[in-house]
Amino acid sequence: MVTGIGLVNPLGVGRDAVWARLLAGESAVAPITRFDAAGLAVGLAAEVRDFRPAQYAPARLVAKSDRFAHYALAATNLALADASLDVADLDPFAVGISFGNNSGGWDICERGFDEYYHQGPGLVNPWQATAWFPTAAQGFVSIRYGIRGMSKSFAADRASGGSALFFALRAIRWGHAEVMLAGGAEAPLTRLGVAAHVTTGELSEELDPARAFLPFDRRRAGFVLGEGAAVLVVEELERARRRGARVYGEIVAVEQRTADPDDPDGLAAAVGAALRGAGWSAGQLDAAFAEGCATVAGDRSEAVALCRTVGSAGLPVTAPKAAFGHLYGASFGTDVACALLAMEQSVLPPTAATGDPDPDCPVRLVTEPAAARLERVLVNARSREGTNVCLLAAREPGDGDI
Amino acid sequence: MVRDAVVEKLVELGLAEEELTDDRLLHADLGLDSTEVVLIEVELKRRFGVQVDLRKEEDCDIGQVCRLVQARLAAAAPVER
Repeated sequence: MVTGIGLVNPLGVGRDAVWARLLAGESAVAPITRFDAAGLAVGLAAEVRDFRPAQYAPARLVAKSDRFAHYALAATNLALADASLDVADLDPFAVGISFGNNSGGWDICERGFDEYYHQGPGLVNPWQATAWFPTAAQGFVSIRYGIRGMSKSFAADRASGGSALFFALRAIRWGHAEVMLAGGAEAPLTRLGVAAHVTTGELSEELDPARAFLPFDRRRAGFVLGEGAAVLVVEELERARRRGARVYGEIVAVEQRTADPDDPDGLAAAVGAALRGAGWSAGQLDAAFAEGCATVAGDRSEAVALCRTVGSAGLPVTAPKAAFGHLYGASFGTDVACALLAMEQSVLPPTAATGDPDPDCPVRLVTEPAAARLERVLVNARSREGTNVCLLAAREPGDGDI
Repeated sequence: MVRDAVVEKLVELGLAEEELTDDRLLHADLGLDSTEVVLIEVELKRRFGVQVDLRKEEDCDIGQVCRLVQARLAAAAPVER
């Protein structure tokens, strides 16, 4: 069961702020202001604004950690508060963390490089080694809350958060944990960070914010980089019921399959395995939250995989990330949060920017907020190199499920 | 001057300025960990060119850190001239 949602997102900080702007069709894609983007191939990003980490975590931890860990600390704080859960009341060995992060701490790296190259090797800050590392979000959250249960960090490109949810569900089913904090964080928006991400060839170089990130659109040319964190409190059904927790919905199955990049077989296999694991037929699904990375080959192969497995011509498909950028490690947790909120409030958030759906991607794309009774939804994540994750979530918990 | 540099870094670490009196011990009173002490060392080296190893000393207070740096500066001064 998911009993808490914490979001730090370019659209806002906190679940309600993000959701309201998403349904209003607003976008956080805009010219880069965090640093001077002159000379970079990319001029747009989705930046988190008005974020003060010390509101969510002790100043001592903030001082020695990178921005991506600040986002993780804040999202954890929000998720635990949302779930009315105090880790201090729990067995610390029964609580685990499962986070995705793709690229570590770019802010601290830029600081460390400047110190090293301009001041000398003896003047590098003492946190360079520990703060940049992709596991640092998990580490600082575990320190902050005294969490001692089995915890992992996953780096799998755009699907990093998908792998984190894959493990989180198993950690509970296998009895390693009663409560998992699952999701991830990412903060690649520095000058060097963006320059490095440009080399993937997947970022949109469009300068008009309204046309930069267009999933499943005929004009699509890649995605816009975002930043943020998503943390979900996942706990056993019995535990959640016992304490009378608000339940957003159930994570029923998460499967992961690899294949060649943009080979639809990998995603089709993940979707098929998730449906078998859940004991659902394709016809029972009410909506799909797509990876929708807006590369020409990526959207095409995702559409093919959906057609093959769930006959997507009639299934509403949406990719809300077009409004807040691709969040890499934080992406999947954010999409799952959107799926849960959509089911709770019976409304699908739109892929607002897309205006010219590509007939080569035969999916029924939702481009306006759509009222719909949603009982069962699918969420995809895919990486550049062929990792595919499919999660199935249900509005109402089934007996004996997590 | 030395004291200002030490206090500035301790505030940057998230400590409240009003608790930073000369008699406060870095570990026992302020609860600094080893990396936080390294930050102080690096800053003293950056600002004053003085290498002090606070991790080898017994737990020392802010006043002792300042005197240690000032003693090194005084010892080095004639040589530099």
